[in-house]
Amino acid sequence: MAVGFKQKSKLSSEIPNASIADIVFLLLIFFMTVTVFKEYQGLRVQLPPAKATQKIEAKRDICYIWIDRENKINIDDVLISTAEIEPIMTEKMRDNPYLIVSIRADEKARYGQVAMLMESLKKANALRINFATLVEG
Amino acid sequence: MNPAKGLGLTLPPPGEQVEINPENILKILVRADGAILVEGEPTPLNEVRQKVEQKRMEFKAERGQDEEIIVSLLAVPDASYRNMVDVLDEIKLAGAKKISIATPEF
Repeated sequence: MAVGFKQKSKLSSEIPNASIADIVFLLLIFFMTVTVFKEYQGLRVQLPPAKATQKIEAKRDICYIWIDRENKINIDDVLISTAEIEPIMTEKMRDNPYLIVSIRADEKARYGQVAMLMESLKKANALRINFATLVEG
Repeated sequence: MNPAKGLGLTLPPPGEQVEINPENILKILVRADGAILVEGEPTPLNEVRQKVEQKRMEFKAERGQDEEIIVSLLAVPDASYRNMVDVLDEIKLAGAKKISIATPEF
């Protein structure tokens, strides 16, 4: 006598998701610890206040130049001399013609140093500038 | 996060020398001692805005509402950067559209 057996498959087609939350948190913690946001230290400066201060919207197109009260100049965390400004900025403008130069000068810096910086920026064709200020009022 | 903020300006291209009628220019000078001269007249900082606004209105009344006077700001090299920014701030608050930062003699 032949007996027909019909074997039911007990395998489930669902993906076990009990540990997905653990995996997600592990990944989150991993990326939180290893991610480093690029932020320039620059020089220690006290920016002057201004009422007509406006925010620059195009954050990716900004190059920061610091001038401290001892009239030292720093571009992208590198101390440089006045003569080096033009070649450095010329190269930056070649890489990004839409660059905006944010001049972060100390309020007690000598204006002559800022004026020389502006002359070098003109020669490098970096014409869009922004004098960094604190919001006043 | 420290959003970039400040007073924006566009420099003239290098080598560009345009002849401008002196009557179209309002000259402001900042001296090394912080003194401000608007068209040669000593002016306290809190009166700069009013003077620039007045000159702008007079210019528009003479030349037409679409015309703008050019405000030329010259600071001597030994002036402090703060003084220059204070005056530039007042010029911008006066609504000046055409601002020129003159090159001092080094």
